[in-house]
Amino acid sequence: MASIPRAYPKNMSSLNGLELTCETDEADLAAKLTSLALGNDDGTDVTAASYDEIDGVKVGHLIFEEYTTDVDAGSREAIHKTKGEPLVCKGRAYINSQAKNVIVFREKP
Amino acid sequence: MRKIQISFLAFAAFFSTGCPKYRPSVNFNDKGSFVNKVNDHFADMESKYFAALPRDPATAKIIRNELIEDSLPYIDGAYIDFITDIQRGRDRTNFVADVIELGTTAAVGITKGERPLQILGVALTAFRGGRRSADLNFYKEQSTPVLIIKMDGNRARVRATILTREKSSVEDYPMGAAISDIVDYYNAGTLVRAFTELQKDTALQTKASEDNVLMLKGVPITPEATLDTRDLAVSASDILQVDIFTQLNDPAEKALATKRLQNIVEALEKDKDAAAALKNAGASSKDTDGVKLRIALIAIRRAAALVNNAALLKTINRAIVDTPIPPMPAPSPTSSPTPSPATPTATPPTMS
Repeated sequence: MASIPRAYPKNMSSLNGLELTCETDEADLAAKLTSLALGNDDGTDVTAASYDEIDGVKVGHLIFEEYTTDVDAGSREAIHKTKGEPLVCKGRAYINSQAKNVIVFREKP
Repeated sequence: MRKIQISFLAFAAFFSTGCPKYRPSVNFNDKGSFVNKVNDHFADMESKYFAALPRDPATAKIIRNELIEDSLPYIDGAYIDFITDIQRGRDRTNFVADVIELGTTAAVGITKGERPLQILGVALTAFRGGRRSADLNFYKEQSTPVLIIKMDGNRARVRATILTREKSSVEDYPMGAAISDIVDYYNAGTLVRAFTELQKDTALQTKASEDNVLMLKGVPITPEATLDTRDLAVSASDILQVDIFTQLNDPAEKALATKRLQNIVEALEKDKDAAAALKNAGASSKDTDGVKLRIALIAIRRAAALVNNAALLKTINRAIVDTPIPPMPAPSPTSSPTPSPATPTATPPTMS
């Protein structure tokens, strides 16, 4: 499956705004989110996302959370695992022009 | 005053024992040695400083600064001897000039104030005279130059701090703090400190790597989605990826799914942009291959999303969501005769 790069604006209003945008892209691209990172697109700071194409799969909703340390991320991962919400990716993203640590889970269908 | 002298001597003695390759060399038996010179100078200047302090703080400040500035050349001299020694086993030609050139480069990167740069420049001018760009043999061994660069950088940073603090009053920057800075300046020129600073650099580089940005080229920036946009996109996706996908894989419902896809495509053909996209994808409402129609719809949605064509995406998603599910075809009449009244009638299950 091909990988699809996407770029989101640095001034994304909130973590929820990024979540809605990624869910929209997953639906329209028929793809699943695989990574989030800080990026630079032709000189502009962006949040760089990557998606893998899928077919015949209901991707469901995403859960975006900000984490502080790797220990914090590990705790969040363990909590969501018990709820049957798998880890999608852990990365960095711009929210309100600030770089944030973001961890993403997939909501239980 | 004696305590300060003793403290400095103890500190210098501590760092002067052991392998001389780790720090500037100090010879205690030599009356004209580094420590003795500094010590004598300190004793003299401290007497003047403490005598002036109660009645004339401004004079005390001048004496303090003179003490600092007069003592630093001793440390510089010891440092030059030190780096000369550690280079001796590797290269004997023009190495001082090379080192100084490297050191200046490092200092320029670290000290940003004009004053430190000016002083460093003046101090190093004497060494630049013999510098020849052909001294490339110096670079054959990389580890020692790197350590010297680090030591020079460390020293330049402490020097800049001293220059800044010299502007402070004697209350804010007392003699004890000044001597502490002098000792720090000495330590900055040791290999132990160079290794420590290199470790810190590695940690900082690791952090920087974590923050490394992904370089993209020509990827259009997708604006933030709204809740309505998300809901419409997800609804359309569920229809294509779940409902119709499942129906197309069920022989009993494949025809129904195909009819639904034909209706969606027919609705889209009424829109100019969507019709063009369908034509590019080679799809038509007259197609009878449901799988092909579904793939075409996925392709035109993806293509529209990739160029952030929100209007076209909305049109496609709206058509997918709003096109009604066609009615199930009526079962073809059987040729059997009138059913026997004895045959039980099938009734749908009811919830109790």
